[in-house]
Amino acid sequence: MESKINKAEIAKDALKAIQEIEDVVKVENLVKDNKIEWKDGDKTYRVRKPSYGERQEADGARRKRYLEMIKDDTYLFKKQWMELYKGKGVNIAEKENKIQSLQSDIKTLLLRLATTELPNDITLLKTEILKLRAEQIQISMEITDLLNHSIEDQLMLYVNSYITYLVFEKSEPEDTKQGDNPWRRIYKSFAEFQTSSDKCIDSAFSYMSYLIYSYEEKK
Amino acid sequence: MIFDTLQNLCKSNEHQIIYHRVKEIGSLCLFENNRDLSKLQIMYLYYLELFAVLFQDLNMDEKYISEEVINDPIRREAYLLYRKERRNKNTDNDTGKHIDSSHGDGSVIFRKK
Repeated sequence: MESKINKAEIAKDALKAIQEIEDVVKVENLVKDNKIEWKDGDKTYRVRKPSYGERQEADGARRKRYLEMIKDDTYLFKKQWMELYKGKGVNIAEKENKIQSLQSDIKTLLLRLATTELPNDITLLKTEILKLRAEQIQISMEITDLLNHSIEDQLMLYVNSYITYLVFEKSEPEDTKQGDNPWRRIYKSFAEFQTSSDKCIDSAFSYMSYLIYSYEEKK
Repeated sequence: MIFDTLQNLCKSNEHQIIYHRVKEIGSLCLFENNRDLSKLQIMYLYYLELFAVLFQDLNMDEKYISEEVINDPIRREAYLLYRKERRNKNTDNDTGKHIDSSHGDGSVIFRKK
């Protein structure tokens, strides 16, 4: 019985080790260049870092979309949403201050943790830090949800989608002469990309987050 | 998850050796692309430098650093914060004295999402 358990445990550990090796190989592959390739069935897709021309095209699309949004009265800036929420008793500025204050508490605890060598104290401090972090994330998610429809957030979503549309490609070697680039943009237009229900778009979005900082992060 | 693996990769002997060789031999390239680095590549460089700093402190027997600290993400963060505060205090107390920035915190800017 005991040997059976040991065997099962060893097999579990071995599987974990194999998984870790696979993860490392995968990450090494993701880091080697600024493109990410993946297979789905018999098709090979990729996303890549946008070229200068593509970034300019995305900037143009953003500018156009921004103008449309500010002409439309149903779109509001973050500050306007915050005022509206305040009138309904939801104070976002206070929530942001709470995040800052939690950050300050976390910093104090981290500095204590750095110089603590007693195992019990280390465990207690780590638990407290994780608790405060969880609280911080919770408030941050609440703010994100509340401001989800703001011009800033909608514009960021739009630009990230537009860039993904520009760099989302499929390999078509059978339609390519030898020596030519086999990669083709998948969607003919952004409108087509936006209305597509292809599940591969979700993978493309996910991989893009490893390639570029979002529009808001760049600002 | 992917960022945990990336950190483990940068912490490994193999990648630390690559990092030091690339720093010594300018013509060695880490990536297939020389420019237009991806977010993941920027983070990879950041973590390589960060772990190089931590291992250097460990080798120099700096206070409060150990293998255990390096392997624990929260304690690692705590040590780096403590290290930064200590360095800031030293700079304040020692204005005018040249500080070698090559061994400081990562020179690559990293912004957390």
